[in-house]
Amino acid sequence: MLLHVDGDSFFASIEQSVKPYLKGKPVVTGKERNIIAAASIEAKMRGVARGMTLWDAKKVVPDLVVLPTDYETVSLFSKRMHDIIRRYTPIVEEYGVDEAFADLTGLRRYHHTSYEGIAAKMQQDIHGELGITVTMGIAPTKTLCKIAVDKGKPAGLVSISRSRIDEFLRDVAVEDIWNVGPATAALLRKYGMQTALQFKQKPEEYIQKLLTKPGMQTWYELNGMQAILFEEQKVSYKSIGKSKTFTPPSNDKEFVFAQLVKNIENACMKARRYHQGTRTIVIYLRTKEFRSIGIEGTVERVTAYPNELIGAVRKMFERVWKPGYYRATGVFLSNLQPLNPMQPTLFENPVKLIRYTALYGAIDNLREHYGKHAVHLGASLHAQKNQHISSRGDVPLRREMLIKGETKRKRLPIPMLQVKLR
Amino acid sequence: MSWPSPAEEELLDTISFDEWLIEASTFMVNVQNDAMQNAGIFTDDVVIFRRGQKPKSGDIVIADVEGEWMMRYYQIEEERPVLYPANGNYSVVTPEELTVIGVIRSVIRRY
Repeated sequence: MLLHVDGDSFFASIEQSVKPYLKGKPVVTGKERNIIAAASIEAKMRGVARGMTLWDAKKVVPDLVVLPTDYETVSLFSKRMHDIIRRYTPIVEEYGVDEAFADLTGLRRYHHTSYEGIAAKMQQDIHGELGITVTMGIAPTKTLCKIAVDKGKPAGLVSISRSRIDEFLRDVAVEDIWNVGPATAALLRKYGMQTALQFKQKPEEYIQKLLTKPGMQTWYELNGMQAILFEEQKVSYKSIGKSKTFTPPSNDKEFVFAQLVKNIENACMKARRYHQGTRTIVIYLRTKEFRSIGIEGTVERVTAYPNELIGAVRKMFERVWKPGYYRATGVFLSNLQPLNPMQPTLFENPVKLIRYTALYGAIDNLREHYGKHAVHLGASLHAQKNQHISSRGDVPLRREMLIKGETKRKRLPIPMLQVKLR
Repeated sequence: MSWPSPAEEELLDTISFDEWLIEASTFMVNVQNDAMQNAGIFTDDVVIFRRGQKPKSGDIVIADVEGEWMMRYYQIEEERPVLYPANGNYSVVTPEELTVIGVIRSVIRRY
């Protein structure tokens, strides 16, 4: 049996956990972007939803507590949540920051309890140790686990046994099935399937004619046959992506390019940390209207040094740039390979290569002492300063509650209870 | 040729400060008052506590008393929890409603 763990209003619940005086209050995060990234259960019950503007949300709920997103604390909680799940089973797939799939098969005897019992213990541990709630879905396949979680939200535990699959699928609309997009849902409806149960009960050959492989996988999964495999913890990164939204959107070409270069510096930094490099780089720009334009390019040799990528990236950028307003840039380093030993190409000066290695070794050391981007390419200069002066309260409280020895750049990796003690 | 260093093997039996102080459910809190000074906990100390741990009499706990946050000694008296300060300027609290958030595990002070 598989288990799906899904954090309830994860970002907002974490805020309520480290600031317990916010328990029971409508809390949202996303202040820095003016768009709601997460809403607490109390806020949701009063009509606030993810993706709403703060302006609209405040109209619905005047006493809404609005906070900036504290990615650092969220990451600490995410890691702990996944660690707790690993206490009970070694097979865990981290599915995003607030979700996980776990395989519980064969562990009942070891834990002396049922699958539901194991999940309930995990749930108690997470609740007790982290002060947040999660919803648990137990089922024979990932897709059914997702449906179980949908039924159990928030804080519930729902188990779908093989013999009871049908009764759970009866009132699930096809578009609410995991991995079923609007196009597939429309197609299924056209062929008379409104619910997950109707879809599940069609003969295999019938669905095979109608849908491609991913759709077929979903059909198997609804029928209790595992078709979507487990992706366990990645030991090495296969690709590294970095993107960043800037507010307000900009039509300044060099500013947008600088943002892109900064993402490349960040991605390379991460790649170097794992001793990985790439020859393939994808860049993309996102317009104010949320349209993305991307392009892929290659360089001579596996690298993780921005200097060696920037020439190619500038050419790619020139090809995709069109005058207009942009809100984000991003970069993917794909097909990562070990960085060392680096092979100089035939016509390349190996001395230059040694110098880059030394240079970025030094830059990485400076970063340790002076923070990210202590040294950066001139091309990313525009992106290094804050584009807009952040208003008060845009910075997570944790960054202002420093303890002796912490700096604005580096803090202890332990969640801090942010309360006023009497 | 020099003798191989025994350091690596010998150090296998040591633990880091992190392992010594941090457990799966530890949180920290900055101390903002002197209510526990006679227990050796002063303003600006960092206290490490275990969230979700069930307290027993004599533990120092972080507790929510009807929306007020306190760090105090926890004592069960006549089957009711009582919170004791370690400073005569603070009063003993016998709360109607009490939620213990965690139990103190260590105190850290940087001079």
